[in-house]
Amino acid sequence: MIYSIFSSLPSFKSYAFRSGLNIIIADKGEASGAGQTRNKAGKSSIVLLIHFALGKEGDPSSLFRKPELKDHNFGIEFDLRGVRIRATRSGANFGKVHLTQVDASEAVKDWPVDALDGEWEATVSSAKWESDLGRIIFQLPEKPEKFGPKFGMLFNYFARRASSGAFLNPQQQSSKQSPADTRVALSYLLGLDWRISTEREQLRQSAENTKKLQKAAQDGLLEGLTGDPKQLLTQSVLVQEDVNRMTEAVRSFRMLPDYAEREKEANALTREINKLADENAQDSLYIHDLEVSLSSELAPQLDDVQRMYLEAGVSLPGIALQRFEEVRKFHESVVRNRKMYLEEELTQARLNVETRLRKMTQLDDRRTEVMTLLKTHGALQHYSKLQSELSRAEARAEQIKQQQSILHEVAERVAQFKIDQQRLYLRLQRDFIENEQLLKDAILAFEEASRALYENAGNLNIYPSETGPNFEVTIQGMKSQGVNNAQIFCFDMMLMRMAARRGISPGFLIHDSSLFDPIDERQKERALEYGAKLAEQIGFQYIVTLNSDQFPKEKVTAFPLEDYIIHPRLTDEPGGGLFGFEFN
Amino acid sequence: MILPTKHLPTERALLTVGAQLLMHLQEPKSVSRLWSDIKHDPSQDNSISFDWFVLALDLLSAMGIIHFANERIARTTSA
Repeated sequence: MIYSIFSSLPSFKSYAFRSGLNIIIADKGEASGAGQTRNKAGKSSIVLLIHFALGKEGDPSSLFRKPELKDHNFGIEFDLRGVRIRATRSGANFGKVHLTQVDASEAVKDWPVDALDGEWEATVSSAKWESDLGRIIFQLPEKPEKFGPKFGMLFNYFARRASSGAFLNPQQQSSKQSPADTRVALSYLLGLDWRISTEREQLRQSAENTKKLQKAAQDGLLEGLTGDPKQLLTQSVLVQEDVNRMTEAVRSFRMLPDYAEREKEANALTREINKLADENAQDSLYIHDLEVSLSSELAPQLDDVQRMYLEAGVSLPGIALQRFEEVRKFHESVVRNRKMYLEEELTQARLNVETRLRKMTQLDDRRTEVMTLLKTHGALQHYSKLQSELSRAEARAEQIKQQQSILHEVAERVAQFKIDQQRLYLRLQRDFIENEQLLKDAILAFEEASRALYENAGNLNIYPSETGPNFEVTIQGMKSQGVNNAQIFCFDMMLMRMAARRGISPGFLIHDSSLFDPIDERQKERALEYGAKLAEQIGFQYIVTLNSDQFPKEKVTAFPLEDYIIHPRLTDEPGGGLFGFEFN
Repeated sequence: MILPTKHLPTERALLTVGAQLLMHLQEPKSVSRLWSDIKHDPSQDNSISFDWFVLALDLLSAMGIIHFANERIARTTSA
């Protein structure tokens, strides 16, 4: 139970609380317009202050770190498992909480951990304070488990903050609370095996990682390939075939060291052969001429000689010519072997052609040899190219092999995930069977609260599903904000009862006016009455803030709600709020 | 036919051809050898026919510059 809230801020309106129901009223000032809300009165700030004193609300956007407030201490005095403790903290020094043991209770020895380190007064880090509170109030294990319950996660149900979206769903104390977090927290508070939910969450995250791995493996694949291991196998076989083929090519590669020289030689040979062919073509023409000459049996006519002789006499007057008879003899002796000369000439020409043809054949043979060499052998750069292609193919084969193994692993993990999921589901079902009485009590606790408000009682359904325990709330036939908030009221009453029974409640429950605003007046009155009675019955403190116009006027029961109002009343007039001054 | 005319280019005139032949007759040569040398002399027009070659020789013989002896054509030294 909380005894008081206080501050070093002089204008702050301190409150002293009683056990059982405490109602704080915020008045609507006469000067306020109809549309004006009472945000300035500071009702919600009371809830935030309690969180702040218990180590939460320390982030930069926190109300208590605003310039107007940060230099002041705010605190609560409360009963921490039988010990009266004052916890104060300031926004300027938000990392620390100052603790004082107010009474001389020996119950401090029963704490699982001494938050004051054996002293009457201590300043501790807010993180340690939070962790110690988890152990003292909720009996959390010394070392927090991954995804396991933590102080804030549980405490938030007992002091829901409108600013965190805590009044949207009964199951969630914050709109940002993850389903796994919700399952773990509620399982813990009710007394179910919460480790099923943490293991389930670990499983889910590992499945997420597997999916990422799978995606990475698939992204790494060549275009047009899916992650289908069957296709991958084909691809792997084909690439391996490439590797084998190229390995063989590299192995049998015959290198020609003077490849470039041989290329030049081949070109030179071609030029030579062409030159010889040209020469043969010329000689062929000559041979033709000779053959024509030979076939015409006409030797130069003696007439021509005579004509030449006569002309010489005329043309070359100063020259003493030989007698024609001498010339005729000379002529005949020269011409006598004309045919022989021509044939000799012809033979020589033909021989030349033959010689060239032989030479050409030789050159051509050599050229063929060189060309064959060039075809069957390769230069060094060809060899290097082949080798680098082989390396590429090998790298690709290796890559595919790795992806294959990743995908196999993924497939195995997915299969294992399904098995583990089923195993956890069975464990959850067993847990539900073993805890049947507990579940019945929770359902009945909810129904009792619900019945107090409505004729048609709402239901709390708790059932195992493959994703974990499900907590579902239904109230027949109606769906409105008022009904939804009434469900939250019933749910919190159920939680309070179950947690108190397990001895893990903070001893108080705070309901901000945001919860009651949309609820019908009659239901509101019944809810407050039920809350007051239950608080008395099982011994917890129930703190409620209400707007004055929301306070039930047309009373349907004889319950004296007015008696539970505590002072001072807050107003939205200047100086009337919790902090006593206006700020943004 | 001996001297160049309108229809006979200089290089074909017998006198020109004869002069060329003489250049190849530093030593006595057989007819075939001389014929061959003339045909293969790159500095000269060697497209002449054998018959024209013989006529050129005849001219040189008529002029007493060469004579035929021992199956060789030779320059006549006294000329």
